[in-house]
Amino acid sequence: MLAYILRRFLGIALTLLLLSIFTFVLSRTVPGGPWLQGVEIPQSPQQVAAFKAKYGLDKPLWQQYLVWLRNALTLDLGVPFSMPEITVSRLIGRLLPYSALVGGLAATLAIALGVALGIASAARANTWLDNVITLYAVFIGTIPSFVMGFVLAYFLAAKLGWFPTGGWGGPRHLVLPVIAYGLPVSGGVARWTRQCMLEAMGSDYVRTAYAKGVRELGVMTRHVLRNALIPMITNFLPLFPGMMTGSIFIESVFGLPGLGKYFVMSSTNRDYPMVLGITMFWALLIACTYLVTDILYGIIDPRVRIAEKAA
Amino acid sequence: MARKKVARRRFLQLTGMAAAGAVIGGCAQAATPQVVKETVEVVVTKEVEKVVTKEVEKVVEVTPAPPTGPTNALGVTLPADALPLEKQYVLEPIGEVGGGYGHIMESLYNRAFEHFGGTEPLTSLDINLQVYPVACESWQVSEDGLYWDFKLRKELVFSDGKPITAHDWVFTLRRAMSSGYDFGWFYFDIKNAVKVYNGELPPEELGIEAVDDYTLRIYTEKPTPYLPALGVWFAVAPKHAYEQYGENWALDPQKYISSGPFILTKFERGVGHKWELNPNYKGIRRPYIVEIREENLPKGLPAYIAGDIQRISIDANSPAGERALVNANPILRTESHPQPPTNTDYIGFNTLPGKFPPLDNPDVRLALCKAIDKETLVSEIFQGFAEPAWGILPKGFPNYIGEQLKELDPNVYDPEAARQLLAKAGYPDGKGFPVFEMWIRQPDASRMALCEAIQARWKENLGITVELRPSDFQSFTDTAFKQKNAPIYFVNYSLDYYDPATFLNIFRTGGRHPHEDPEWTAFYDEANAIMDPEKRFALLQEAEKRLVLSVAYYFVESPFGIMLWPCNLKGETVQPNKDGYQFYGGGGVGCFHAYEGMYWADPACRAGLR
Amino acid sequence: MSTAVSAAAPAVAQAQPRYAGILAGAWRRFRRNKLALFGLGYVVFISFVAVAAPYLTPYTYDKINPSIALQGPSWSHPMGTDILGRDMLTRIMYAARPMLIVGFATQLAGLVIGTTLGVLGGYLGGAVDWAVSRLVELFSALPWYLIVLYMVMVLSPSLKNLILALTITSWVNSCRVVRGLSFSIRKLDYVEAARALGIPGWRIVIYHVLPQAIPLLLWTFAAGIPTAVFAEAGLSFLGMGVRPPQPSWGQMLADAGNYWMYWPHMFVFPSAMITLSVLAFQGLADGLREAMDVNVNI
Repeated sequence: MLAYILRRFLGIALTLLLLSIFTFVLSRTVPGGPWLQGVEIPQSPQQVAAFKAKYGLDKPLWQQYLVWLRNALTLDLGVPFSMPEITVSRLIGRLLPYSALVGGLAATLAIALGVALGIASAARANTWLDNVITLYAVFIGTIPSFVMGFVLAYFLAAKLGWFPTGGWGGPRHLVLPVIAYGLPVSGGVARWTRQCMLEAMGSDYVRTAYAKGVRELGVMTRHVLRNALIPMITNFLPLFPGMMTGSIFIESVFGLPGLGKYFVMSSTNRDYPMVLGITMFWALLIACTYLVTDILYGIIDPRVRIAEKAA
Repeated sequence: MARKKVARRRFLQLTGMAAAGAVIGGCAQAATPQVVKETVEVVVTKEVEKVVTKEVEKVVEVTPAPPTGPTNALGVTLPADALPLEKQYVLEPIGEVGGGYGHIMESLYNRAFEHFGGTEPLTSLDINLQVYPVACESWQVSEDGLYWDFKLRKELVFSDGKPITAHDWVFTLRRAMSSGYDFGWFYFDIKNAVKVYNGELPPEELGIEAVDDYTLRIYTEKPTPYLPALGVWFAVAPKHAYEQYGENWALDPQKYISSGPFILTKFERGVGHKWELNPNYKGIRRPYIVEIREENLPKGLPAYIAGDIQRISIDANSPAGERALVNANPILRTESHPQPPTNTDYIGFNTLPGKFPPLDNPDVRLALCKAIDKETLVSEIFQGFAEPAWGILPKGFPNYIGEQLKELDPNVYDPEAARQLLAKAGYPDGKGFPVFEMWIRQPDASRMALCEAIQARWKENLGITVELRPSDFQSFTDTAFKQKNAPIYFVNYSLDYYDPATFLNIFRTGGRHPHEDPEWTAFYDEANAIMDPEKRFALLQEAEKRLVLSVAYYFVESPFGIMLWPCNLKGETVQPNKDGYQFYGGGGVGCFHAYEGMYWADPACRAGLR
Repeated sequence: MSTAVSAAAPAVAQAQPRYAGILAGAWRRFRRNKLALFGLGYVVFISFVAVAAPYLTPYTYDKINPSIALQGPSWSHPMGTDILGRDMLTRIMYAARPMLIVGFATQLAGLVIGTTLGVLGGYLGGAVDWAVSRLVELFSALPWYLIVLYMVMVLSPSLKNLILALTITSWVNSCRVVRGLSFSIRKLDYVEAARALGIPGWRIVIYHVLPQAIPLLLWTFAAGIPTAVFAEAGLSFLGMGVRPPQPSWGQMLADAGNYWMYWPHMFVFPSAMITLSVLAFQGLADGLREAMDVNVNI
């Protein structure tokens, strides 16, 4: 197992390296640059040259990349152009907890609700319950975000006053954003759960279990769920890094601090250190998630463990 | 509890309008005479050796000293109806840019703060949109108009006690112009500014000097009648802060040295900032409020109704339901304050010879202009939140001559004439006309709808196809303004001060537009340098007319919005100005203030809002 | 994972002696699933509408008429008009085109690439599998919003570029699915037997691996179309959808953001179309899978 993890980490490192090169080149080939951020009247070529010289942007591309790489290996991801007083790593470190809290709770809500609904609809496949849940799942996923955001904010917050409309504070401030963020995702979770459950329910061992007289709940939880877990985990675990890095929409509408807006903003601002740093961070999270997923495979499904050993 | 609320709400609704009216009238509460009943024992000694006690009701009319509100750390006494000091704060959202520099002279477009609480500008705009001296007492222009002397206030000091002298102002501008200040072009009227900015001359050659410790002299390339207006963005930065702390002192509460009524006490990037009163401030901007909080705030009308945000702007891009909600709610209606238009959207054509062939033909451009019925489109799409623009100056701006410009040929909708012009240029019914891309700078919903409408009109009236290219800010700026590779573009410009030069200056040759007109530039430069206001304005009107007739630009509309703030915000600077406009922030719209002249009073007028 | 399909054929034949073969059984099972039938019908219907749109409506989708803007549903405009006075029903019909084109093209391209790589990796194993896994990891870690953002900055928005952008991420899904499947099929007895017999690898792949994968791939294809629809809608919110004035439901939904409270028809109809499409394609996908997979217990 340890050797496997080490091998995987090597693979992750390679992936990150390739990704960093790709992102680096891509971000530089796009027209514009950090000096052009927000200006109404573009600067003269002399000023642009002076800016570039100041930040080392006039050196050849490969040289700039190597400088970045050398610093990145010591976890120094540089200083964003538009935020001179803080480093990329510290900014991510400061804002991540906010995004992670909201995103983590939202993902938990989505998975808990979605799996429950999915199991119910699989157990009662093709009945009215199944259809209702399917309708809910599709509808909740397609309801436009501005509708949901407004409905939550207006009725629950402004009118009833149960929750604040936004801002960061105690647990009450988290309820609306978590609902707005997690509920639409629960639809997809429910559908996928149903699919995986139905898939597993068709297996011989399930028929055997029923034949042996095991009751439905026992069959569902001990046999079906266990086997359905693998494809479920494949799809659900990546929800966590995806949602814990923040949503630009949720953070904007509900006024929460977080990383969400920096993903898009750093690209449109041409803030190269920020783009690279945040992309690398995100990629690392995703890659680690896949590693965890694969390790969980091994724990849950002995066949995979044996197959890996044989391979 | 619920029953009580409803009863109170009904009662207040009945009296709400009257109360709101009284409150908004802003009449100061006069001290009311008090009636005191006193019981006095009077002992009367009569000769008959009878002691008679008589009780007398004595009516005492006492007019006590007018009650005042609390006094804040700056020594400003709030009016009597003010809430206690801990409620006197301003809540602002953290800048949308998501980044930014601490001092306005380090970056304007990438600024971290949206107010001048910590910096003292040379001049500012009052609520009547007139320039008035802030850091200076007065100014005087020389005989030939080539330099201005600003008499600085002698009592001004930085928050650490050091006096603010003319040398600090000189240092500030020299530093900005020689370190790639993104707003540097704003000061290009100052002598040698362009050369210093481009590194051709050392900063010492910049046309600004300290005649003595409290007289600042600014030289200009040619007579610049609007120079004091430029002072609304010119704020002083402490030289010793840079020497002591380096570049980022303005983003660190431990290092912040303020020249304004507030000082930075908390700065957590992405989370929140806080400003508190600077007791060492000796200037004339004396706010009532004691704290500015900048946080991540929710958006939208529900947040405003819930009281989680202190102001909201409603315009063509606000959800239609919000406008309906505002109109339906009497309290919200009284809290609505229309704002004057401050910017204009226009279409530009790339007329550089040989670049995009038929566009350098004025007939073709005139045809494109005459094929758009801008009045109808603007009123339908913006639903009352924009004025059609006939020239570059928005409606209500000084020297606005929309009525005259409306008659000029490019502004007159005539599809038939447009078709004939196009045919004359060699493209009957649009046949053979190349397909151009119209670049649009970060359009919002209403602007996108407007561009789609213009595209449809060109197709319908002229038979030509124009593709739309909505683009992010930088890609647009690079392609259309720097590389000058966009054949047609749709962009906006906002005012920086209240003089026509703020708009007209950008159309000079060598600016951002892909259109070269040395004749117009020469005429305009000459007109702009005339010190006599009446003559200057007359010639500037002529310049604007010529700008429209050049058909290198087609001015479409000037959007505006309505700002809402709670009815219990009172003070001198939120009163209606001479045109009936009310502004938020401490002064006239168009530049930053320090929230002076406004305070929070009893929120009774807001009862029943939810 | 499912056992060999061929083993189930006798069971089916026993139950219904008149129908023979797996396909007939599949159709019978499919027919029982009402949602799948709806899905199939919807796909046929919407494809017809997309192709025949010019003949089904007297209006065009780009002619503006500001004087009748934002009108609710009426006899002359059954779905009302939008902010520029264009007929909504016409635009909804024309919007079926980009949805189908983008959805199908994206999925097809993703499927071809993903299946090829997945089979190569899963079946051949070893270094090839390692390379494919790294590729999958790389493309999963790629922030696709970044790529799309940059693409839009540099390239003009067009259907072609949109498909390209969406394919970059969608192939990963098919690849992962096929790779997992190939991996497990490789280990099956009859495949090992075939290999032992000396049957060349490509024959095994085409005749044994791929048929096993078809139900799953069909499901991925059909289920991926809603993803493409969502992605296009999301991109429209960022301003990177199809090129105006070409309508798309995602773009119409994004445009409705400011008008929905007062003029709900602006958002109800595009939203309903997206919901219906998602429902239909997912139902179709599930129905196909259940129909083809004998062991699913319904």
